[in-house]
Amino acid sequence: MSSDREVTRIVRSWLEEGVNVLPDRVLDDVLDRLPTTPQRRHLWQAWRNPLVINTTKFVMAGAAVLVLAAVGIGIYFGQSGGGPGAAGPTPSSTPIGTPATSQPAVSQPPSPAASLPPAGEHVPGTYALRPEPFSVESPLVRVRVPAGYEAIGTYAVIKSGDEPTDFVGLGVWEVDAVYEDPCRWSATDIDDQSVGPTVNDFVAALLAQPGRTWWIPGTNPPVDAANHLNGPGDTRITSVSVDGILGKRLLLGVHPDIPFDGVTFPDCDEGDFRSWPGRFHQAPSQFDDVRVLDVGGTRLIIATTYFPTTSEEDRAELEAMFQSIDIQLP
Amino acid sequence: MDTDLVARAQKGDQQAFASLAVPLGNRLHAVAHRILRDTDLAEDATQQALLSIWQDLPQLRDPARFDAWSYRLLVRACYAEGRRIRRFAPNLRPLPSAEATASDDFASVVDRDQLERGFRRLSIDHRAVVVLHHYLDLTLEDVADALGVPLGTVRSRLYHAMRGLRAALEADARPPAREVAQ
Repeated sequence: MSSDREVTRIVRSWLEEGVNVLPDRVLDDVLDRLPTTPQRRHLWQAWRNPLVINTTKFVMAGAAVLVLAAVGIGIYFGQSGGGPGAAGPTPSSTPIGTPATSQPAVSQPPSPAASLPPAGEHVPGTYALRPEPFSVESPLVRVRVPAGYEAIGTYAVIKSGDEPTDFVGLGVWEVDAVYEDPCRWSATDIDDQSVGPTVNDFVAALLAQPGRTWWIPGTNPPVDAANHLNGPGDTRITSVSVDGILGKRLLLGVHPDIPFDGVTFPDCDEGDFRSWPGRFHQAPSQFDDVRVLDVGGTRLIIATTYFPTTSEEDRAELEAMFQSIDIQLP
Repeated sequence: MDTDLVARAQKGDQQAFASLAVPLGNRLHAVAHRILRDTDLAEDATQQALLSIWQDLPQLRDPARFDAWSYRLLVRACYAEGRRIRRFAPNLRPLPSAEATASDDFASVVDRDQLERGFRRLSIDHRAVVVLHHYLDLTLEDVADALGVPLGTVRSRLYHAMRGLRAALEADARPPAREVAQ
């Protein structure tokens, strides 16, 4: 029918149609949130949520506070022997969200797992992490979070200091794509980097990523996994059971040949070395201890992160948090 | 774009960011609306992009690149919205027909419908290239810079996207099939 020029003209004309002004309520909502939305330090980038922070999530964050309060009240009543009709908390009761003192909430008898508190809160307790991205079919990962940790979105908890390597964390994902090249992650449409649905599909995609360093999972300090057989003898993979659920475990990092300027990987797209959507490395020395599980047909990824400089105490605390995991089917 | 405002906002100046956000919000929303073809999704994507811009602003190394960088975050937000809606709903909702102008001299209602359908068949990445190039008039080099992808990728996406849109228009141009009496 038409020349390329005519098609272009039609498309351009068609694109002129449409909305051009952002409604005031949307802009006002954004501006209202600035005071409570901290600007990100780079060390958070490794756990940045690349997906959506939409109205629903803000509502969820608000709901999380309410749930947390409800759990706290339940704990309070449990402590005081109260119940329906019992006297409510007095002004002298411990405020919900206070960092752990001598008797953190995690030591209380089993209670419903609360959703994570909003980012930035340092609240010990038992929480339900939601894999990113979350759907109604996603399992919940209940975990005991010690004092000093804060929430990133609803899928991770971290403890960080001033240096990029002063960082430990635990996160959960339910992603269906792995970057073919973690350094050149934007070169291919993410839709074209989807992997098959099984644990082995995900593991194989990770093992195929260039620019990696591998250690033998479960070794401390980590031992280089020199035997890359892509088979049963491959020292990069071990079998694992998390809360009785079977899967595979890998301990991965970034090869030291990938340039790093102390803050970013300057030769990589946007300075990021990305494992999968939502997962970044923030320094080559970062250990990512990844467990890929089959939870009733849903592939769940749980990763803990630490550095060579992480103290034994912090490692033990992170390991204890991991060991507390209770995976709950939807 | 006022680089001084950007620099102040990078340091956490909320007033400076608010001054940026008014014109920026309109620009981003116009682009999001054209990529996503849905008012509610476009509002969510714009809101997400504005918050991401605020949060990640300290990591922008060159304030002069603020516009290109903000489009990149917007396209990411559009991608996230498109992905989110795909998880829960089979199709995006069509734009209200009232938004079509009556004054265009180029295309019939049928053309618009065909374009709409053809455009919706494109991925968010392909739509973004079309919108940034043909709506914002960015050069292909600037589109590549904004999206953070190689120039060849932009050329390829634009070629395939325009081919798809042309096919959509040509599908309408073909005479309808008629039953033949036996």
